[in-house]
Amino acid sequence: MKNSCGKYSSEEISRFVDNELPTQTYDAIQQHLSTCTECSAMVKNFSSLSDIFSHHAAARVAQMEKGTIAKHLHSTLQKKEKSTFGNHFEFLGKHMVLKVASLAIILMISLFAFQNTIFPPTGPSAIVKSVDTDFASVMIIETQKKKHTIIWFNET
Amino acid sequence: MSKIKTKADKAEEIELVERLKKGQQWAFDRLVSQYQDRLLKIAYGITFDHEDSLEVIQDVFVSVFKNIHSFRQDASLYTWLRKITINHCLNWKRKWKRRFKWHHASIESENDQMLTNESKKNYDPEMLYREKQFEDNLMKAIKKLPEKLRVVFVLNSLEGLSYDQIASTLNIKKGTVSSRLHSARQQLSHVMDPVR
Repeated sequence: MKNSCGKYSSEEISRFVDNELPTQTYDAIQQHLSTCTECSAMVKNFSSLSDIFSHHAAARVAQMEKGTIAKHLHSTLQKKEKSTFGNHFEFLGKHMVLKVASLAIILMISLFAFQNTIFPPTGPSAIVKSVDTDFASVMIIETQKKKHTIIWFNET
Repeated sequence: MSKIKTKADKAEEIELVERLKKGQQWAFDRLVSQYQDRLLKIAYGITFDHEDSLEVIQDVFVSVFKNIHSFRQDASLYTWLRKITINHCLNWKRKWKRRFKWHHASIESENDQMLTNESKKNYDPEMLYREKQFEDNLMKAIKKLPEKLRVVFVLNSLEGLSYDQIASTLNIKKGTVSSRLHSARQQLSHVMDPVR
């Protein structure tokens, strides 16, 4: 669409429609419109483009089934809540497993220790002296590593 | 009076954002009901498709839910939502499958439905037909506009944003907004000429 008027460019008219001109230019065009049918038609045309488009888009939006938007958001919120709960549970669960596992290991080690499987007793290296009488028995024993002396006494 | 109302609105918005950050469902329901129509209008203006507009806005609200903690409230909540919507629409446009659909989708059936609805208002059938034909031609012309021109035209026509606001939303210069809007109007006017 050409503006055969020639006084104002179509871009100036476009900016006039949007009120994006300096006040002086805006007023000058406003005055010019009362005498120029070309520019008036262009202003009307530019304005009607936006009006029709806006009306069309609003009518389309009014026809839309918008319930899906809220539903979709709700399902996202619920998923997030579940995952948060799951994470907390998992967090607790992990700790519980660790606790149980630690306890089990301690128990197993204790059992093995009692059964002398893992840690066999460090037996005496040698019986230094052994005395047996009618009343009692005495043994003097020396340990392997630290060479401690143990005196064992037993009444018969 | 309006200043007081604006302050009240601002306080209400701050409270809404706080509740959104806490993940309260009530707040999200409020957000959707308050802004979905305006955002759908923008999405429809860019995508020209019912279902895609709905999908885009669904994604926008999910995105808000995920990123609300990064919202610093430097701008209004709606300005932030509008920016997210435009980004989502433009990303949607970049998906080639959707683009194919976009280029080839017909709006005839939708317009027929519109015509039926409008007919209920007892307008002169001939005048109604001419108006519809004019509108159809305009919508086809808008669909054919290059993306850069159309987005500016959408923000100007549907949102009534100033050149400064459009420039800030799209990170372009004010002069670019003016020239793109002018180009869009010129192209649309060229299409409308034979009908007029």
